[in-house]
Amino acid sequence: MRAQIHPDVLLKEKKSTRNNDQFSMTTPHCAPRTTKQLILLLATALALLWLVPDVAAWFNRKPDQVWARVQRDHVLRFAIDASYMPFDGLGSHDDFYGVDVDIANEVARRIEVQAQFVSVSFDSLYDVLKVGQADATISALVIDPARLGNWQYSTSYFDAGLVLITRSDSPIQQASDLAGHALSVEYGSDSDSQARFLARRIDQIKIVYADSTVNVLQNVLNGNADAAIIDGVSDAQLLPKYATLQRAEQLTHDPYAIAVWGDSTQLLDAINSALDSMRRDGTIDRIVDEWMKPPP
Amino acid sequence: MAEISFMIRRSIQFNYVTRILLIFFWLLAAQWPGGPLIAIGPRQTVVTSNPKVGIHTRLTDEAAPWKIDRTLQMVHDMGAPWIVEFFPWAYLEPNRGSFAWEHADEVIDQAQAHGLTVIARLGLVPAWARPDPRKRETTFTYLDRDHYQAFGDFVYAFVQRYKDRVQHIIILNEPNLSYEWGLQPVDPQGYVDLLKIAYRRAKAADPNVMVLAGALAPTLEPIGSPAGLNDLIYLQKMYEAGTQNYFDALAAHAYGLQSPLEAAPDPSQVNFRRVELLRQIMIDNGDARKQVFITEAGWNDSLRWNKAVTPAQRIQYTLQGYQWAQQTDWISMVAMWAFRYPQDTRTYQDNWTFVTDDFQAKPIYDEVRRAMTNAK
Repeated sequence: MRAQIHPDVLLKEKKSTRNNDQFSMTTPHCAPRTTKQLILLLATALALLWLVPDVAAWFNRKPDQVWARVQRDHVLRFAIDASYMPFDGLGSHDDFYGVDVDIANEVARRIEVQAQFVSVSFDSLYDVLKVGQADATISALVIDPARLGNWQYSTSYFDAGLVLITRSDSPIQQASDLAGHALSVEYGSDSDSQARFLARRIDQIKIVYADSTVNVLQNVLNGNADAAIIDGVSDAQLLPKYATLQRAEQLTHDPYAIAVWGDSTQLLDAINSALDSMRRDGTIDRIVDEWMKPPP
Repeated sequence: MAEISFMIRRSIQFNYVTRILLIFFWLLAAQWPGGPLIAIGPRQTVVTSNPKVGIHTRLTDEAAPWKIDRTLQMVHDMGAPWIVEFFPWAYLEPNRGSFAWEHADEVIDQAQAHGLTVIARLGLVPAWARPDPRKRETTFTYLDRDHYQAFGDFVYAFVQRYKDRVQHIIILNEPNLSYEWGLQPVDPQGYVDLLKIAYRRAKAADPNVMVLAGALAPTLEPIGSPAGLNDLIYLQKMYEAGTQNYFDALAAHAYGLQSPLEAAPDPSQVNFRRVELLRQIMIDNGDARKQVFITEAGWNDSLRWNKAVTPAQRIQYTLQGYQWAQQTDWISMVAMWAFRYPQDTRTYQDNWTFVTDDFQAKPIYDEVRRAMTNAK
């Protein structure tokens, strides 16, 4: 009985190049389908799609009230812990400055609103988003997977993770080449922890301590050490001053990003669009370079 | 032929039955509750040259018993007989009158086995004691007057359960900061009213429990600041609100920021010895006999936080801070913030800790351990 086959299906059937022995939705081996069956198929597909968390979340999404307020008032309020230079600083006249402030101002400009800064302590950086005292947080904030869901993060605009530094002519290109070599770090720092971590896994690493990041790099320059570990910010600030040193390997990643409250999906999209365009046209690099310049 | 066929069929049937039975028993075994992975051993004693050394642990969100055990063993090995630990009301009483003590039992029993004295910090308001989030979003530190009694009931339940194991409790944390007071304007009178209820309920459960009040954040915020209130002003206002008979000892926080230990106390500065100014307010209000427990303290050695010192300075000042406490008769103990976080934050907050999240000892841990235990 093929009398009830839909004309569209027949059309597909004619176009089908499959062998009739193969199972095909458009071959006579397939059960005849009616409009009702197609609707059922579609409904089943939708139901299955519903089980995919992202799809369900899209259907269940709430209107972004934060974005509505930002658009209504033309003001985007950034929470900031202004105690972390060169990213977040506060002048004597309550003027905010630093990488994060410039990035926030530029993001707001591209969204066509005004940036405002709400000074808070580190502990409050997330909760002020929850209770609506700020719309977004920018404060050298490293993406924390444990917070995802309640909060969301933008794409990253800077990586402050640890890097391995060597002389430009060094045979050491990565951490695994450090066996039998001297590695300089600042005593007690995160780099020190990383060096101890590597020393437990790679034979005969000799750790050479210094009391500052500058002296760590000096140890490599003057041959007291073959390599050094410093953080991404020190790398950006200091390495341009040393022509004979190079960044050999990124050892860890600490991606800085902007946080918003979990429901602020449209605001997050707008921030990400702004960051993407800033990344493409070199604005982020320019802002970072500007603030990483060593003091004259 | 028929016999062979019968045997094969029987063998197949047997195999099926065997397999089903094996699967059944395997599933049964998988469901069977096993013994504890971490057995609590006999009680140890902390060997230390300074019995006032303490550290604030962060076991609240640490689910794995072996990590709790490892943390407390490392604290013990460092020569610290005291820990301060947070026991969140929201976790322990998720529904009104319904308690979930398992995690707190684990921490307290393990601490006791490692010879550690626990100071229990109580706070963090459960959802059922806060406004409906559909009407108003609030944070975990928001507690309105209508629920002070419910907090008192929780304090009673906690002290009652642990009266043979926990002798010190702290009522809330840093109530002089807006963030810790539900992101509302701070209210010394409100805190003292809560303290009165908590004190009475704690004593009803165990007359010997020590109720520690305050745990004020050292801050210079003036009256009217949205962020909080100067701790010296706040403590005086607590006395004016009638706090004197409702705490047994003061919990204090002593952060050195960029000052060395020897920096003299100064009302216009935050430094480690600012706690001496709190002590003076206690004396002025007739509370000279009460002890001070420093339940948070320390220096941060971030490279970039503008209130940090170098890692080497941090070690030096920390050792001096412990020594100062040992020589100061009105100080019962000092707990540095913080031993370890369950997960590193990858921010300057990590530069407060003694141990990384994967239990890698930082140099400050090694140095304190060496100083307190003569370990190499």
